[in-house]
Amino acid sequence: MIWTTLSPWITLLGWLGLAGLLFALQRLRVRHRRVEVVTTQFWREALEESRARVLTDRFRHPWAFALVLALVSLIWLAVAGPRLDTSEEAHHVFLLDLSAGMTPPGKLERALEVARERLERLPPGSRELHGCGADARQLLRPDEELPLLEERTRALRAESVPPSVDRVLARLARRTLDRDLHVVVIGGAPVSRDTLDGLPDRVKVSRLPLELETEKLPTNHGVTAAGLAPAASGAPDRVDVLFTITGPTPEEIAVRVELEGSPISLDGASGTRRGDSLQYLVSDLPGQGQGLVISIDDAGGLEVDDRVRLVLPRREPLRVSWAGTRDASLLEVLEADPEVEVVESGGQIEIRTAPATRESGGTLPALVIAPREDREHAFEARVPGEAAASETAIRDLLEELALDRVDGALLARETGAVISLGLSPGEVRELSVWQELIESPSFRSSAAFPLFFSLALRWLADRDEPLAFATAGELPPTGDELPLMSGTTWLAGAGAPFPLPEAGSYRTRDVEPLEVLLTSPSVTRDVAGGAPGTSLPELEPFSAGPPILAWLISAAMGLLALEWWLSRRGAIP
Amino acid sequence: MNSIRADELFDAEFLQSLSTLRIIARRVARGGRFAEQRSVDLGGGTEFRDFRPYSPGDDFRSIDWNIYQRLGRVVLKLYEELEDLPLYLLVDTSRSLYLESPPRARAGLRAALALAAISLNHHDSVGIYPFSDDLETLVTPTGGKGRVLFLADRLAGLEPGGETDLARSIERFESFGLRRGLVAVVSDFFDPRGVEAITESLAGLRHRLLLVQLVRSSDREPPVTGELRLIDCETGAGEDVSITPRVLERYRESYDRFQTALLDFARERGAGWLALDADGDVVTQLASLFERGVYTP
Repeated sequence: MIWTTLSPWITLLGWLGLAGLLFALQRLRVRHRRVEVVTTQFWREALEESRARVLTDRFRHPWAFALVLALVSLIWLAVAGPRLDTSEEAHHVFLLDLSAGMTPPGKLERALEVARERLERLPPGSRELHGCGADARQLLRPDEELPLLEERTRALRAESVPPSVDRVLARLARRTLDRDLHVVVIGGAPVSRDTLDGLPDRVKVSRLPLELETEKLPTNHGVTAAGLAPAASGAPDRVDVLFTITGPTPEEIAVRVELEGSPISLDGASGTRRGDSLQYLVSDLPGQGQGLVISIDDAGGLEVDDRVRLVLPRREPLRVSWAGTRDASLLEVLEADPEVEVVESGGQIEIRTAPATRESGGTLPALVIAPREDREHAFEARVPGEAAASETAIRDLLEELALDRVDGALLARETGAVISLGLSPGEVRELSVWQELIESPSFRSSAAFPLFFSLALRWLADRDEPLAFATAGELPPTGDELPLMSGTTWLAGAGAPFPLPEAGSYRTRDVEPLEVLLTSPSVTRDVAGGAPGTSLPELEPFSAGPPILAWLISAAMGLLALEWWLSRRGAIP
Repeated sequence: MNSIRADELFDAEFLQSLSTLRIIARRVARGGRFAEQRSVDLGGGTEFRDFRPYSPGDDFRSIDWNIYQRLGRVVLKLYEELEDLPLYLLVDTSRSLYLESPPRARAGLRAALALAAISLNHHDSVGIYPFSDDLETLVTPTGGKGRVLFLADRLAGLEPGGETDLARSIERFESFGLRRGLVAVVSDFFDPRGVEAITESLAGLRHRLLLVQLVRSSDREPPVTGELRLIDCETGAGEDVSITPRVLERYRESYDRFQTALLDFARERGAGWLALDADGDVVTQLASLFERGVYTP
């Protein structure tokens, strides 16, 4: 604990010096020589001449009064805790980094300690503290007292998320400012040049150093990226996994990949060096919804970035059942589609051709090849729950089904009818096509034919590919609100997309598992060295302005000495 | 406390000087003393007739002290009932008279004896009443020229008293109911109760009054410096004083006020006032008064 601004030795020596001086003065204390006199009445009157014994008497010795008043005023001002603080003119916002970079032992505690030291020296009303983790939360409001901060930070911990200080800072800058704003970043979170450039002139940003010997780790490696893609081999039920190891020597780091606990050999995996990162590609992993864990052995480094878990997607064929006469051309198209399986029963989608086209009430999405007289439009789509078709919805559907590639004019001449697309509500998804179009040679021979039907089946299936993973601290990839359940607690925003929580295992609203990963190059790099992003000016370890208190006390002591000297000379009473 | 030996107090030289003083008085008397207008009992009162300059040898009891104080000239009031004007000597024997070296009591006792000698020489009685915190009778009024040595002997036997309380002493004196005479108070008049207590107590005396103040130059110009704890020799009270020019200035102002108060009282009361330098020769100072008719304190 630091007791004084001066070093302990100087404090002790100074105290000894003052004690010695006072001892000498004590030794030199006035010793009255005893003298017996015939009378003291004249001396008594002479001394009482200088004393204002009566309150209502005339005011005597104004200069002596002024001197004593100045002396007492200095002492009182010192007691009042003077502060020559132009910072009162500015509002101070402290952003405490709670990202994964603050997880090393003691780092967050030290950050809280320096934050408290600063906050104590600022007047209430001009300071606030925000914790920047998965979300930004206000730990101390301007009108709150510091003891409340103690309670709020008692169980505070760093989170497995990338830094969010930059995002919070950008949001702060949009405040309406009535005075200068001084933002102080506590921790190593980077701040980008773009964010700084976008700040108003009244906003100043600096960093508060933690002065920790172990603030930076000697070295650190981490998994900084992970991704999934359909297998490049084309196998419909396989996926390729891409992940990146970042650090000073990634090739020396042992990497383990396990699929539901079974190790996957990386012998066939290709590693590509990109700067301080090494990128791995693991091909043709089975897409059956298993958990895939990628981990590294990085002794002495940050632990939270040493492991990620993905849930591989399920790559199952789309089962299509057929009711009615099977059109050979259409069947050929279906069989050529690797993601489609024509089944006799138990299909996920039904194709209905004559004579089954007039059947209704089915619960399966259906592709209906209907006679022209049964359908108003050449292509008709029904979707559940939607309002009357809008121009935008129809245009979107045209693109989604690749109908914009169909030569409608040619088909119109061939069929003698207007080729149109209709959209209407229905209980389940349904897409109907005129029989005459199917039989049209020009349509059959066009590239749009197989494309349309492949897309039509997928549209009918309306598969929501579950997210294999999401990245902590970032907005959901879908752009929508993504309610997540952690344990028994729902994490949801207020109707708007919000950054995902810290790394961990969650379940979506559809009770699908979702892994939230910490893959942040800035975290992995920052804890062991310089952080990407713009460097910020550092605050002095402690700056309380000029030593006003010392000046006041020194001035008071000077006046005291002057008063003593004047009184010795009889110049003042 | 400085004691005074009898042989030192009234040595041969002093007694001889007293003789000179009496001779001066007698010579003047033979040479034309105004023959003491011994008004034959004017009914107990006094009736002013005239003034005339004082001539050496005139009875000092006739001196008009008002004129003396105003003009510094010694003149006689010619109405004095000179007969049977006993002299009552109230001699201060408080501690302050015996503190210094030489003690003021030496000059005070000598002055008392000198005044007694003159009175005796004029065939008047003299009584001696020493006082400090109270008054006592040392010698009841007695007459005769040969009584000087007797009085000297009694005066020499006086011991230092305590604190000065002139008011009580005067009250005591008044209680004696003595015949009207001239009361000569020989003192430094340093009463802890202040000059007001002195003047109030003396104002009520039904006798004629002569104040013989024993002074020293150091009374107004105390030879002290530094940081002192001044102890009043009579009360024992202490005052811590840092002697600075400002303090000394205020001291002198206080002393001057004291002196002025005494003089104003004497003037208003019609009393006589003599300031005798305790360090100087008492007889010389008295002789100067009687011979020159002018006394400059």
